[in-house]
Amino acid sequence: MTPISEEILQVEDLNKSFGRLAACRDISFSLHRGEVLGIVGESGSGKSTLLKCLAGMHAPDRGSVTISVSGDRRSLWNMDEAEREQLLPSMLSLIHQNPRDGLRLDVSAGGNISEPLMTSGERHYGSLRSVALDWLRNVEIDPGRIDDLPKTFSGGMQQRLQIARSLVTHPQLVLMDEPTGGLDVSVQAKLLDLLRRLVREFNLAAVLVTHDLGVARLLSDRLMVMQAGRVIETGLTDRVLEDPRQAYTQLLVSSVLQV
Amino acid sequence: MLDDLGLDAAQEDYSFAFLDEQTKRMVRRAILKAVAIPGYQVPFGDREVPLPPGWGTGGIQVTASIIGRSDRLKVIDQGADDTTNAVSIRRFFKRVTGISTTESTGEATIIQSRHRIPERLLEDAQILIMQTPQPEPMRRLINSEEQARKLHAFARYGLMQVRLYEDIARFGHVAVSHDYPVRVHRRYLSSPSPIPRFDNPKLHRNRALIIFGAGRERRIHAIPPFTEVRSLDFEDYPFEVQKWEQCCALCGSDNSYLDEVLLDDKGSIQFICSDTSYCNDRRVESRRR
Amino acid sequence: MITSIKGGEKAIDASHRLLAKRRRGNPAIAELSVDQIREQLTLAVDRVMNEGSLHDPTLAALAIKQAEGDLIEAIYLLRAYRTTIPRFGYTKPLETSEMIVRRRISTTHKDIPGGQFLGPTYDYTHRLLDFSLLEEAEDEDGLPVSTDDTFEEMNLCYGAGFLSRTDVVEAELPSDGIAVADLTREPMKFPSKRDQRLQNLTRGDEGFLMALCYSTMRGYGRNHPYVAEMRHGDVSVVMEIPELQFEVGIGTVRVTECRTIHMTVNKPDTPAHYTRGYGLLFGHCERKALSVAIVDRALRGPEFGEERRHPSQDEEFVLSHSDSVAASGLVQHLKLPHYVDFQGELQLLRQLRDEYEKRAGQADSAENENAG
Repeated sequence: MTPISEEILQVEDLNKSFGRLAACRDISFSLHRGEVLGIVGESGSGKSTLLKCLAGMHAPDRGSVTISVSGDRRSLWNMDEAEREQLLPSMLSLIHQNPRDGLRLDVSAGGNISEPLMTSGERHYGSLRSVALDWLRNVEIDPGRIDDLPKTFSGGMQQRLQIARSLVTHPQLVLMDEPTGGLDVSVQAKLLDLLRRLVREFNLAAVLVTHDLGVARLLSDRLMVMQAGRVIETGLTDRVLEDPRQAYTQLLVSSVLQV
Repeated sequence: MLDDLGLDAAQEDYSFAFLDEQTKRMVRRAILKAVAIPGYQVPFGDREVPLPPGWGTGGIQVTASIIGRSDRLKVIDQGADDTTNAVSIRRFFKRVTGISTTESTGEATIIQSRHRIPERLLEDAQILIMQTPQPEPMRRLINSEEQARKLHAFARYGLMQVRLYEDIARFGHVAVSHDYPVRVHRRYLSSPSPIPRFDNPKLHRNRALIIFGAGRERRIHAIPPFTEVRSLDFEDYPFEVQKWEQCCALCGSDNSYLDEVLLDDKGSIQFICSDTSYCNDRRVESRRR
Repeated sequence: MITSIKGGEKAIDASHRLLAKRRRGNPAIAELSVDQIREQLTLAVDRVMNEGSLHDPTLAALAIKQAEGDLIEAIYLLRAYRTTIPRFGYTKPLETSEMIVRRRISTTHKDIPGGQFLGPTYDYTHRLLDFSLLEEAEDEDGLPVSTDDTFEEMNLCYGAGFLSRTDVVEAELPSDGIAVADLTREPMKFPSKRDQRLQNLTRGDEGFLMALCYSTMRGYGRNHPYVAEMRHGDVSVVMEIPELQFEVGIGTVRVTECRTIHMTVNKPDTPAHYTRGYGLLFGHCERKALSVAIVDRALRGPEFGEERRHPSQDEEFVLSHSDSVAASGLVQHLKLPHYVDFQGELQLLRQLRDEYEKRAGQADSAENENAG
């Protein structure tokens, strides 16, 4: 048994509705350093809404989201907007499904990676350059392309650039929203390898939202299955996929996972 | 246009300095707030004045709100007192206030200016009012007012720094010649109005109160006396001002902002001071010697 | 020898004299009177009053005369005058349901309570130049022209009732109790409220708003409008005088009111229904009333869960650029001198060119070395 590591994220009794539609109902879970939690379910199951509540984009109607910031436990929705906006970058990073949402397409690759550092006060051009070059290598982009605009990059490269931009400030918690969606299968595989390596290398706590059980299997330690706004099954990834207990999970697994 | 309005015939019908006292009070409240929060853009209820928006109406409303009968007003445009719009604004105030005006920087108590800060050091009792077309330094990078105000609220200015980063990556230096963004009192990112980069250092710990009025955009911001004003830069790429290899062809100044003058159609050029008051003072001085 | 340009004062005086001369035109032709403009160019007067934010047909006519028919200039003259007038108070909301109607149409129902009246409209005129109007100027003998049609005014008391009778139309936004924003006193704020927006649109440039409305109809943010009702006529203006503690009528104004309805299905928690757009303006200006109503609805998108994708739906884009006075001012300010910033930019451009040449030179020599 490995010793229990620090708890990074704790969600308690989270509820969120839009009008009469309940998108998330009574959701509770926690996440430790170095652990990847996969959230799976069909579209409309509430997994994207949940992610937005974790990312500081949607305020839940009820319940709490607690995130550890360098040992300090902070309740995301219990602080005012100014404080949340100030703390958010040091708390977590969000990797969007579409790299266009997470990148500035009219700013060079180097500028994209450097911006979070400049926002937090870095004012040395030379060191920004060297950090950007390191990160380009780290996500397997030719460092010679540091001054090129992301719009000249392929979809896979754009996604890797977004990952570099998200991780450059060394957040403890990373939220991923279908990070491999919209990419070719071969490109997907390469990106999954990269994500797996980075998660281990930086000992990240990560929440991965996906409808693709194959992706969830490769990346996550634990799985949470959502249906109609509720968590209906949770457990270690292998257990959930090989021995699904709920009928809905069995259906999901049998229809998708023929690998 | 002023003749057409019949101001001469019915001057008593208009308040001193044109704006009614309620409006002046509203503008003064905005100015006080702007002084209290250096560099912060204070919204105010812009009024139409008899000159078109975009032609200095923000500056005019600020001047109109603070001017008194004992003031001496100087109006400059591009550093000169005799450009048509400077003449037009100066005449407007002469007509609606009856106060005395001057072309000498040293004699003025209020200076309304467009695109230049005078070369001569300003003094404690002077107020400099800058006409400002776009007070939001990030407008070129993001369109949305709502977003920009949030970035100011959270002091999240990485985006502006990215702009400078991109210039250095592309050209080896920052390619912004005027309206070069500044950080005021280590807090708000502000526009110095479209003054040349050359004038930016004059904002730092200036003895005079500097007020920026943007009428069309309905904002006033200010730099109080002795406030720290830093032009954005990088530690290893420090901010620099424009330099000329030539001196002023009229007064010989080698440390003022110069205008290029075309002498003929064959490309012969000379340079003269853009600040006419400064240039005149130097010439009078040297003749005396 | 260089001298800096002097003589701005003289030039300005001379320019104003030239303007006055041109305004008068050929002195052999009778001078146009303000009364003539007010009575015979009424639609121009209406536009100047709307965008000038002041109901005063005589001053609007004066502004048109002074501006030589440049309506945007006239609008600004009226605004600059208006800004100096003290404000006595606010009238009660206009009761357009009690309008004395000169024209009223509905495109959703053939028969509406109270009926439809074609009234004065260019809609069904054939656009053929009427050369008889050329003659009239010469035939002037001071006698009024007789007309066969005596205009019968209709007092209409059905309000917008027929819209509210169905349960598929959004309830009219009610309540006179809420304080109404006033853009002539307070700056526009974003995100905006509907009262601010409607005032902004009413003051906005007709051409700009029409183009935006047109763009929604060509697919840039369709919002499926029907003109439920367009009416034009006179309404009385009522004010409550605090000292007297009762309401008094202080006159009537002629207005155009347009109500549009739009099928709306986007919000998951509400059934499909019709939502509204609204435009109310001084005088007779149906083109603008329609544009205001449809742009009003386009800007209400977020209320109904609609995505903001097109210019007409972007409140900051629309409301920050609708004002002709501001737009004309900034566009025309390009005629002001820009010596100082141009000099700065020119210096930068030369620097960038030098650096470009240097880089190109290095690349060339590197290539030559490789070749050698």
